Amino acid sequence: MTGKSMTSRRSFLKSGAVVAAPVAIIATPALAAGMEEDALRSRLARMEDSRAIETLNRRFVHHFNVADRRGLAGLFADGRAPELGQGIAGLVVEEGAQAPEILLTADGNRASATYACRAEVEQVLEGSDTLMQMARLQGNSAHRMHQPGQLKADYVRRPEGWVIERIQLG
Amino acid sequence: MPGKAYPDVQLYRYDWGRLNEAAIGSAIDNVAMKGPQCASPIDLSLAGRTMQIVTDADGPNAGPTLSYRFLTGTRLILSENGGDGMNAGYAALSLEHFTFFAHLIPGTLRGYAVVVDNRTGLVTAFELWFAGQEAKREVSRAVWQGYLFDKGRDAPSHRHRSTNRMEGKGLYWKSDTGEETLEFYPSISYSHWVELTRLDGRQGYCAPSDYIQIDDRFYLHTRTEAEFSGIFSATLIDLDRLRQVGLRLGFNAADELEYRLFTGMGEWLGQIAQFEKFGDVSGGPAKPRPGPGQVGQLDPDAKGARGIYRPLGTMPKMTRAQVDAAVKRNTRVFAPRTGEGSGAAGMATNGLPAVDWLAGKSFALRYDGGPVMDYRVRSADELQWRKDGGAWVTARYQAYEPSAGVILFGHVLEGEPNHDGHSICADFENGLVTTFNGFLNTPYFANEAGARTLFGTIGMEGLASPGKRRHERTNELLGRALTWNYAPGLTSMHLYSTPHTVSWIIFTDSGAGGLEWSGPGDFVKIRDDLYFAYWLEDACNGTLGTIVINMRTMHDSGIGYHCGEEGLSMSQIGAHSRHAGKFDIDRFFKNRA
Repeated sequence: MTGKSMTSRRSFLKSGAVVAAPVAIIATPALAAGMEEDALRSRLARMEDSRAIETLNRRFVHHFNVADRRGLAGLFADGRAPELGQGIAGLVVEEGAQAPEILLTADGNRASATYACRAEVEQVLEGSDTLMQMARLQGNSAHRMHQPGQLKADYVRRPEGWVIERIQLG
Repeated sequence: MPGKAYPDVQLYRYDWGRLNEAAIGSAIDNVAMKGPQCASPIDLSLAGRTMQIVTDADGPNAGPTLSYRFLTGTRLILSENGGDGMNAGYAALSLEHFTFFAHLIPGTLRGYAVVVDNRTGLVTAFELWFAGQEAKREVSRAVWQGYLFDKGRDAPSHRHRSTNRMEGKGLYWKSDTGEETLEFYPSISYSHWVELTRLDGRQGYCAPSDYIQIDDRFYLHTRTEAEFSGIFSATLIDLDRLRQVGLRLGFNAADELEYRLFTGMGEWLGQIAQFEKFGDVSGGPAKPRPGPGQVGQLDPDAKGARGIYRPLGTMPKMTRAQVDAAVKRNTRVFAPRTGEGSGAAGMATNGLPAVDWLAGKSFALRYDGGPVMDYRVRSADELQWRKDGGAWVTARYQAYEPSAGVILFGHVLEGEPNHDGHSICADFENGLVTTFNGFLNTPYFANEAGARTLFGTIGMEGLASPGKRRHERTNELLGRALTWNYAPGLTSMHLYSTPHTVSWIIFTDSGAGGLEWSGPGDFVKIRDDLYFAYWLEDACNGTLGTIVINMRTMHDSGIGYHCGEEGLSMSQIGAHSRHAGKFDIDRFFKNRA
């Protein structure tokens, strides 16, 4: 349990910007021997998919941290912002953590990834006094702490690009 | 029927007219081609000029591009975002190297107030519109930052910006039409003001505000009188020379549209402390967040969205019968400090420990023009009282010792028709007592607490009579700002802006002043540096808060009295204090009753 970090979001953005995620191909398409050009093209496409998913995840964390529910909803296949858990107010992907492994299906239409993170958990101010109501209205909390966890996300390709199918904090 | 332009009752007691779009539109059409009135000489130097203003996006909302052509006199043509030109009347004022102009748009409920820095080319444009809130008379605003487009120059990288550099300042203003106002800026998103001439200066009020820094000397301030008239004002302030120019737009209590530019001269009232981390100059406003007890769809991405505290709409409003039933069903006096609806219990985390100083003692409190209250105290939390020689009643109480020999204790007077509660500050060294007598069944909402201040003496064996001496009301707290840390995450600041006003500001988690509201108050001197004060949460939550303020230990000890649907409660209040400073405002209240 630690106190609130003032640099956590910045840390995430920094790490997110420098980490290049390795690509793990689950079911490699059958490639004819000697068709090197096709293999390179396929590999490039998967690299592009991985980068698109990384960007999508960065946007997810950003929208979540600024409580932009409309922005969040636009990232999801069902158009709904997710509920990660009671009191979860922020997410920080650990700086220096192992790069996330993005797993793409053989047909390239689905993917999944797991990210090591810390969740910023708020303890809500309780009580019905005027001051409590006003404090809650402007986003005050009784206490904030960081808890380690993992973000597990599934992605699906849509004609307009990748979207998140589901995401869970575990 | 609308009455006077400025009501005789407190602004939160006035039944503001529910103007509809048609009535607002009609009033605008009457003045839109004339432009705003102004008692000072207006600036006609814009005639013949054109001006193209490019503004930035604010979050997901694209900023407008405003193309102005200023005609002779006070007419202009505006094209928004390359659209058709619209004719309107305008007026402009100059202040140093700035031009401030404003106009409405005929046939719409909209308009703009624009501030141009003629040296840098930077612009702040306030887009204004009616009918954007539940109360259609309330002016909404969006703040757009931008610059004058010049084909030969690159767009400047700098902008006017939201700031906390105005936070903590207080100013007296006298406008060119003679209105006098005290303005306090203790927050980055709210302000507090006292009308010395339009109203009687007795009560101060709070409103959502913007604070924008142009440079170290010039700032922009806005105020929207939300929950009241809905009138909007924007001012360009020269903090160094204490001058301002501004716009006032909105419907007063007579439902007359006030639409005028004004100039004003200021006097410095002082600067109180800020509590952000050093180096933090970020400003507001706070984005809206729906919270418990707050209703409605609050979209943080809507144009001009900000957090506005709207207490009257969310407070429970009970009849006398409902109050009687709720009190009978559940009266909790100093209940355990846990759970929702536990009265002021959450504000007792930093409270003083209860004391058994009164246990075993018998005494009488004789109030001037009030009752004689006899007490037999059985233990640390049980006493018997009788009023004017009547029957003895057993009651639960708690006592605290905020200063040596001064005991604050409270109990509910079961059986009284208005469910009275006494918060009693008894000085057992000097034989003096002051009591804030809370009661229900008040005229506006039966669950809203009222308060009487009772001065008197203590009669007890071995205690010398004080004779004719009494505690007295005091102005020694006038202008002071004291912070109160009740619990982790819950710190407020009191600002005593008139002899009858307590305003409370809630700090954000970063230590900036945030939401603010105010209510009636009273202030009594108990000893040197020891005061007994109350505030009433009128048209807000109905609570009576009473505190003994020890300016030496910087700790208060208090008792809250509250009735809601969950019943009647009396509970402890306690917080650690810091002195944030004092505004120099005594001179404005010397000859006022």
